[in-house]
Amino acid sequence: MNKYPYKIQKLFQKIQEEMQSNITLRDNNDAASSVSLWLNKKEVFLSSDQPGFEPQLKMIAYVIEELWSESFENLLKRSIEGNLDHDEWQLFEEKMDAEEYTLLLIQTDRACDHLYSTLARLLETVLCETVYQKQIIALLPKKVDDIYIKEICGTLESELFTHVSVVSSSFSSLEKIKQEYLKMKEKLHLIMKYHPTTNSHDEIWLATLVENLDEENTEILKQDCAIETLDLLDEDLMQTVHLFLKNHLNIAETARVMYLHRNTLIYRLEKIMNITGLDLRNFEDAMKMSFLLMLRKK
Amino acid sequence: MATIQLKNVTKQYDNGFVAVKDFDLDIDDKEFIIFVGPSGCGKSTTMRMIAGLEEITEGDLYIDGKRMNDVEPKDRDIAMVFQNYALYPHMSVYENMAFGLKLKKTPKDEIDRKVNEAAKILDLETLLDRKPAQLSGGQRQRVAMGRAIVRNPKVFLMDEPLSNLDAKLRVQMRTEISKLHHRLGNTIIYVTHDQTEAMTLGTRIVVMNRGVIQQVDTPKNLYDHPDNMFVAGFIGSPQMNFVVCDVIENNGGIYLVFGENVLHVTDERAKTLKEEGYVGKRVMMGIRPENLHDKKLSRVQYKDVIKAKVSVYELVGSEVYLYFDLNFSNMVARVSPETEARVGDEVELYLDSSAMHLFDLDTEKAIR
Repeated sequence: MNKYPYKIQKLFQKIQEEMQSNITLRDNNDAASSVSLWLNKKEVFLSSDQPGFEPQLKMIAYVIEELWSESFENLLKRSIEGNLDHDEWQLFEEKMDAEEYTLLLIQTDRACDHLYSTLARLLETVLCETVYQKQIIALLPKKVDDIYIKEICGTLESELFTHVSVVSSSFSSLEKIKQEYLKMKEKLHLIMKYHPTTNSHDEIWLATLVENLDEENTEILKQDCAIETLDLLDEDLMQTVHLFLKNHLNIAETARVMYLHRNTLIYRLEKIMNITGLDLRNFEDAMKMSFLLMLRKK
Repeated sequence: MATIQLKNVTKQYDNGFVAVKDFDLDIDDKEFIIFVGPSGCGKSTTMRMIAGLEEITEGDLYIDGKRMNDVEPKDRDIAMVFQNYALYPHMSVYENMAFGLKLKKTPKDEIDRKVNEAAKILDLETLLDRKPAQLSGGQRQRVAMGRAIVRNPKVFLMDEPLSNLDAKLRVQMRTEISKLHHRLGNTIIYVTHDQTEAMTLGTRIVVMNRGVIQQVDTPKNLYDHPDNMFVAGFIGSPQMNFVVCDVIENNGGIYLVFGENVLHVTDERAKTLKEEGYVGKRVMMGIRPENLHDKKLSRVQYKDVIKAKVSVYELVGSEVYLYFDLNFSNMVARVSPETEARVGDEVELYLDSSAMHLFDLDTEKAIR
């Protein structure tokens, strides 16, 4: 029993004292009565040597599952605050034992009653709610890719009818959890501020730069790059700017996605250069443009 | 009953990017309408505005005559199916489909009825106890559909739901979705970048580009009467061939000239070109690959013949695509596999001038 959280150990002790029944958690269902429950993604059986004891076992199993998730919810919450003592770390590490981990930070754009319970069923892992912003943190004992994140977003959006933003970070040692969480918190803040409509994190480092600029330097840069000229770009030109940057300054690819002739695109890029002074075909100027677009939102 | 009206809907992001501009559309009850266009054309954004996942910057959205701009997404009576979705791994198919209803505190017997009905429609009845890991890709996709169906919404919003399936399964699921529409009779808005999906599924298609509606019409009309060069080029595979031609008048007749080729035009078209002042100017001529015929095999004799040197020969089973360059344009003809033409051969092709399309070079709009 000592591999289970303290509260569950106490519960068992109490049950055995009060119910005078030998109730145990086993890997098989060979006992006279047994019910199955899932702890840490593993099916175990709450068993009793008394026949016909299933209704009572069902109730106990429910309490155990609740205590189980609550215990680890607390451990996760305190791990990202860096507040776990040695024994708790050990329990937490045993529970999450894996070669790689992914921490997810999830935020919705409107209050959402069922976000936590939906995520708990979708991810089948430890979750906890942060005190501020109503963000939810999930720790997965595996590395996940962008498609997985998109799938989570897709399901949450279609089940809960709300826009969902998710940032993730994969790492190999649980000791990094607090550090990773702090980085992700900043990342999510930047996404909400600079990319509220996309879950893409490609330009997040640029957003970090812009966010950390002090007021004086922000003004200097705005004047230096003539940020006001961006207002002179009409919708077509603005769209050309976005898609040309998004397509890595590739004329053929941008022309293809925009269904424009190559020469029309080049004509537009020249028009943009005449208005803003920035030739987007030139890396430094394209960089400046990306920077200015973000600076406008600061 | 669900009609949808979008009135001058615009979406502009904080950074100034206009994703959708002045989108005006009336969708009828029970219609299966497709939003199609290249990536970044604003089709998903429009769908997300209807869903309420994106705010509408300007304009109005009505569902059944009620303004929806400020109505919470969950109260819009819609259900969504996305390209990327996850099933609840430890829940059975039944529980996966029932979960959304449970959240809405739907009575148990009603959940049971709805899930069983949906399972019957989707042919999932025998799989209700299975877990997602025990399902094939197509079955998982059907469960995702089932989650939307049990909500019994007025409107289904589907955003590229088949994109992650392999080609064979995609064709199969396309048929399933079509059957589903006939059985359920709900209004469906379906987003895709795949024109075959658009042509085969939709009762009407909205072709979008750069955030703007290019044309709204039935699949057949879009194919036969494209309003502009974008629609003409986007709908149809292989793409329509385009050649710049000079419009000339000779002995009272109107002809299109490109390189050494002189093409006749129909009397009606000649009249339009004259009246609209195109004589002496250049226009873009479009001709679909199936309207170029191998002269040797054609039973019909057409007035116009073009000579082409085949650069690529592509046999795709029931037909052959012959690629060639003509007057600096890459062109393709779709001919019978009986053709004797091979790479390097000079081939004579009939051009069916009654099937040609003409476009204004500046506005790119069809000349009719």
